[in-house]
Amino acid sequence: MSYIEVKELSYSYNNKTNVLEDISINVEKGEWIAILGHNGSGKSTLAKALVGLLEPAKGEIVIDGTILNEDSAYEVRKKIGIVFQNPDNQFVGVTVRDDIAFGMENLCVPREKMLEKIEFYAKKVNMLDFLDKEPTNLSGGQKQRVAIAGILAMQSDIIIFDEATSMLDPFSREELVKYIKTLHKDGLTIIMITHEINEALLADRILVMNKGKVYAFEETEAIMKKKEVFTDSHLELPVALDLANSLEGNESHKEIRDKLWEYALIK
Amino acid sequence: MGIRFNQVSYDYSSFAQGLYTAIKDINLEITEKNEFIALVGHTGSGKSTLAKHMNALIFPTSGSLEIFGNIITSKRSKKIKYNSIRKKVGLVFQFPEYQLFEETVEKDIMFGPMNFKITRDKAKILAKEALNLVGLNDAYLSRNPYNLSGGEKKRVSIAGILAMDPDILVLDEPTSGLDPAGKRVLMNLFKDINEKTGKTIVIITHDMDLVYQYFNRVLVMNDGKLIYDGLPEQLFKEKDIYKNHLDYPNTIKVLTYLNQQLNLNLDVYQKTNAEALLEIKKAVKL
Amino acid sequence: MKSIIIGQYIPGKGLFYRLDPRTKIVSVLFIMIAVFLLQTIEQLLIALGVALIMLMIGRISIIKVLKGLKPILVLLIFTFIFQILLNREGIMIVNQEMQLTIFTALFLLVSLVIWRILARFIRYQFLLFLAFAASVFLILVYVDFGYSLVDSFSFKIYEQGLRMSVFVVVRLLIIITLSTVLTLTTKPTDLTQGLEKLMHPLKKIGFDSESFALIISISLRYIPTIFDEANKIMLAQASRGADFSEGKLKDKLKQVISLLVPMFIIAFMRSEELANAMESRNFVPGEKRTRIYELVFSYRDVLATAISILILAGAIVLKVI
Repeated sequence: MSYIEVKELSYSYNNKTNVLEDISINVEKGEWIAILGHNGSGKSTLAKALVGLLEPAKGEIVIDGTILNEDSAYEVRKKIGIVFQNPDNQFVGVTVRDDIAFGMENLCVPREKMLEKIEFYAKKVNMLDFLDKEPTNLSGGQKQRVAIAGILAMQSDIIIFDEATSMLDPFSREELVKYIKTLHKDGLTIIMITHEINEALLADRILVMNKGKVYAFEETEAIMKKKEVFTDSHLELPVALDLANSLEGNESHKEIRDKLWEYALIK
Repeated sequence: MGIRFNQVSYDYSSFAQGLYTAIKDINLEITEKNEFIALVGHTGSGKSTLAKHMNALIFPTSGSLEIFGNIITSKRSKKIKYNSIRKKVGLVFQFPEYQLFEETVEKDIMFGPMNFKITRDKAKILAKEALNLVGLNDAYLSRNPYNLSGGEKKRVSIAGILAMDPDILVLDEPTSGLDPAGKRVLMNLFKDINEKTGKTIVIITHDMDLVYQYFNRVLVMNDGKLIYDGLPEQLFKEKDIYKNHLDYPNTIKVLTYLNQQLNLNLDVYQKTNAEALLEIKKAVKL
Repeated sequence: MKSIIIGQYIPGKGLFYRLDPRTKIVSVLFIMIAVFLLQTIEQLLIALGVALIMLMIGRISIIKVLKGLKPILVLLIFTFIFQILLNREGIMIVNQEMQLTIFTALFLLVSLVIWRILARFIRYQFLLFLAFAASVFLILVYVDFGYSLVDSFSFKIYEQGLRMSVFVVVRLLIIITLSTVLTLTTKPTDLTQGLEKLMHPLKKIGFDSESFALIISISLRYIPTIFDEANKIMLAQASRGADFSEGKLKDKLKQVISLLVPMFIIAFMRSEELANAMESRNFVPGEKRTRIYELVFSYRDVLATAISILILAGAIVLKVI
C-alpha cells in the first residue's frame, strides 16, 4: 500500500464546474513529487484536500493507512503539513518561538517538551538566533523556514509546498529549495506545487494537472520528453532540454544531448 | 530633460536596522526618449528605492535629482507640483493588490487619468485603449478586478498607468508571477511601445534571460551603489558575475557547461535558444 | 512603527517589570476604583504623592510617564477650562468685566494668527499656548473701544469651579499615570495572557476567553504588517495621481477609498489564508491547548495585590466615614 493514496477524488465549488475530477494517484514514502499545471488546473485544491481542508464530493484520500475524513483529520494532520505561498499569511505567532510552538500547543504537547523541540527545530532550519524576533523583521525566506520548523515540530513527515517559493526573490528561493533538498535526504515525503521548471526537475515524479484532471504522472525524465505536456500547460521547457529536444534524431548529436540532459537534471 | 540623478543618497531609519542607507551617491542619467533600460540587483540593493525617486514618491536625503526640469532635493518645495511629475513618470508597482480598488476594471483604469483632470468620457476611451494594449479585450472592462487571475490583475495594474500616458514608464517586476507565454506577451508589448512611441521604459527584473534578450542598457545595483551602467553583453562577459549577486542568462550557462564537459569551443554568448542551437550545430559539423 | 505600538512597552528593569501581568491588571483596577472613591482634593493630592513615590520605588522614569501624557494634554486643558467656566457654586473668586467689540475681535484674530505662525518655529508648544491664552484674556479685558458686538459680560471664576477643575485634572492624571505604568512595564503578549487567565472563569458562562486572547495576539502580530501595507498602497495610489495631502473634499473621499478598499480586501484574503494555515496545524477553536508561556506568581505579586486591596479598602472606609 502506498503512503498516500488518492482514489477518484472529485471536488467542485458550489456544485458548479469540477475543480477536481477523478484524481487517482499514489505517492510512496520518501518520494519527491512535483505538481505542475496552468492556473486553475486544480493544484492548490488538491493540496488543500490532502490536508483535509476540503471535503471531497466524491472519492477518498488515504494517508498512511488512515482514511481522511472529518473525524480522522486531527490525527492525519499530525503526519502531513503544508507551507503556503504567502509567508506573511501563515505566520501566527508574535515571535518565531510562538509560531513554531503553535502547532504543538494545538496538540497539547507539554510545556518543557515544547521548549526543547523549539530549540531543536529552530536549529534545524537555521533560525536558532531568531527565536525572539518578530515576523516584520524577517525576510520571506526566513518566514517560510519558520513554517517548516513548525510543521517538523509536529513530527510530520509529509510536507506540501504550495508555490512556497513564488513570492520570494531568487536568492531566498534558491536557499529554500536547497533546504527542501536536505529535508528530502532526511527521508521526508515532499509534494511541491510550482511554476518553476527548475524546481520541478528535482522531483522523482512529476504530476501534471490540466483542467482539474490528471494529465500525466510519470518519472521526471519521461515527462520532460513529452512536448505536449508543456504546450498544453503553458509551461516552457528549460533551455537545456529545449535544445536537447531540438537535437533529436541525429546520431552525431547524441553526446551533446546527453550532456544537456545531465545539466538539466543536476540535483 | 528626462531624469538625472546627482550624487543622490537615501537614508531611512527602521526599527530593525537603525539608520540604513538604501542608495548611495547615485549618478545616473535617463533620457526621456527611446531608452529601454533593465534595472537589476539583489534584494535590498536599492532598486525599488531608486525607482521611487524617479517619480518623486520619495526625496533624496542628500544630493539632488532633476525630473523633467524639476529639481528635487531633500526639502519639499512649494513651487513644484510633485503630483504632476507622477503623470510624466509612471511607476507600476509589483503587487497589483496594492493598487486595484474599484468595482470594475474600467473604473480602476480610469482612476489614474481622472486624478490628472482628464474628463470622464476621455478617461473611458483611454481605459479601453490601455486595456487592449496590455492584451485584454473589452469584455474585461465590466469585470471586478479582484475576480481576475494573478496575471490578469498584473495587466490591469499596468493598464492603469499606461492610461495616464506617461513620458517615462518605470515598472517593478512586471513579469513576475506570469507564465512564460505571459512574460513574452508583456515584454513584446513594452518593446513595442518603446519602438513605436519612443517612450523610455525602465524595468526592474530578476530574469537575466529577459535582460539579455530585450535590453540595450542595464543598470546594476549592489548594496545601494550603482556598479554598472552599460550593455548587457558586456555585463555578462564578466568572469565572476556572482560577486555582484547576479547570475548568467541560461543560454550562456548551458553552453558554458557543454564547453567544459565536452571540450568544445562554442561561443557561449547566444541570446536565444535558436541562436544557441545554431551554434551547437555549427560546432558539430566541424 | 516596526514593533508593537500599543501602550509603548519599553523594556527595562525594576519592580514593576517583575510583577505578573495579572497582578498588575488587578492592582491597577483596584487602585483606580479607590481613586474614584476619594472625595476631596487633599485626599487626591496625597494619592498623587503616593503614586509618585511608587514610580520612584519602581524606578520608572517620570519623564517617560510625562511623555505618555502628551496625547491627552488637550483633554486635560479642555476639562480644566470646562469646569472653571461652568461651575458656579461657592464663593466668587474672580469677577472680571470683559467686552467683545469689533476691535476685540480683530485683536483676537491677530493673536490667533501670530500664535499659529510662531507654532511652526517654537519648540515649547505648551508654553506658547499659555502665552496665547494669556493674551486672549488680556485682550478681552482691556480692548474695550469700538462698536460693541455683544453686551459686556463678566468672566467669573467660583471657588467650587476651581476646586472641581483641580480635582478632576489631578484624578485624570493619576488614572493615566497608573495605566501608563501598566502598559510601559508589561509586554502586550503578557498583558494578553494575563487578561486571558483572569477571564478564565468567564468560560463557565460561555465566553471563550482563550479564543478572545488569541484574537488579540494575532491582531497585535499584524499591526506592523498592516502599517507597512498601508504605506505601500499609498505609494501605489500616489503613483496614479492620488495626492493624499491636497485636493478637494470630493477627491479626498476617493483617495481614502483607494486606500481602504485594498486594505480590507487584503485583510479578507489574509484571514482566509491564515484560517487554512491554522486549521492545517490542528487548531480547533475551543479545544484545550497547552502554552509555552507560563505566568508565575511570586511573593512580590502577593504583596502587591495585598497592598492594592488595602488601598481600596482604605478608600471605601474614607468614603463611608
